[in-house]
Amino acid sequence: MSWEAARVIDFHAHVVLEETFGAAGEHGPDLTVAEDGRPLFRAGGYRLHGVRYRGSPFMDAEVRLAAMDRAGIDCQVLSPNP
Amino acid sequence: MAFCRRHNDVLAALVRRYPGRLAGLAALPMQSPAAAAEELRRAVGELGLWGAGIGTEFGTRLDSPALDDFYRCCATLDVPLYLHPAPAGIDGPAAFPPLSHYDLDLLIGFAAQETIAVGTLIYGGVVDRHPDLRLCVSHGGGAIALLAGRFSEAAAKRPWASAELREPGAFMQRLQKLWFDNHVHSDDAVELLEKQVGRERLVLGTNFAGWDQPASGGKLEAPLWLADNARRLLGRKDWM
Repeated sequence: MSWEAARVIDFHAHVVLEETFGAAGEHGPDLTVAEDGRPLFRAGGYRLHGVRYRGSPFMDAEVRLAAMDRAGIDCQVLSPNP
Repeated sequence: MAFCRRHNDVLAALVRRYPGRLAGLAALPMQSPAAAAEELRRAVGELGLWGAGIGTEFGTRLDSPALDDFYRCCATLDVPLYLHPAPAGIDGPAAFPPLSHYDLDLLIGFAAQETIAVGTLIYGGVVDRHPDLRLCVSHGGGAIALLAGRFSEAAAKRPWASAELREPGAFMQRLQKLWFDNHVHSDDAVELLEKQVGRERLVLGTNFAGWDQPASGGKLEAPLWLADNARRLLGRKDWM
């Protein structure tokens, strides 16, 4: 696929990068497991419960591309996770 | 800054593995516009990222003169600047308490940030000062399609409005310089947005893999002009 020939380009897609965890010092971000066994994502004082990032298109490129294929999305522009 | 540098290094490595399918927008340390401009130059010039994705509330108002050098940098690099809110409390002030239940911070909080961003960019003269800057606001610009009439009225009549803003049609002309993604879950809402701004600067947005995806996961139907618009928004001279 090429960007010039793409028929479907998705401009709103966020990416979560394992290698950035902890890169903001005490603000994290980090992805751990909460007491109830669900994933817990933290960035500074913000907490997001229960979103499975690992193994999802957010964090796994091959999973992302397979999902894009199923959805008929040729190309995607990745922006930082807000 | 350390976070942004690491983010952009890693993102660049990722998109380099799949150049014909994925591209990246840089994370920037907007707490310091000068540092943000420097990191944008590095991200675009050295890492091969295709623009930046920033928030709508990061401590400096979007129309502050402190951001003009940063906006100029973006325009000179000829890359898009994508504005997408963060949940309240991450980069900016903590959420207004009524937003803290039912994910109202994602639903109306985001729409409020986006609408405020559009208003600030236009009323504050950012669109006028940076005519070559391509600014894209998420979720159809929040509620701006519905509120464009009120925002136009204020531009014509409120005491803070500049002479340029008081000209008939001034607000709508400037609104029609902005770009928007169409992730609003409503054909009617997108149609209203198209009526206000035309379709030339609308791009497809899915919030891919996010909480708000269609369950069936069938193939998206998207007209070709949305992809053509995305190409113009990206503005690459050297396509992969």
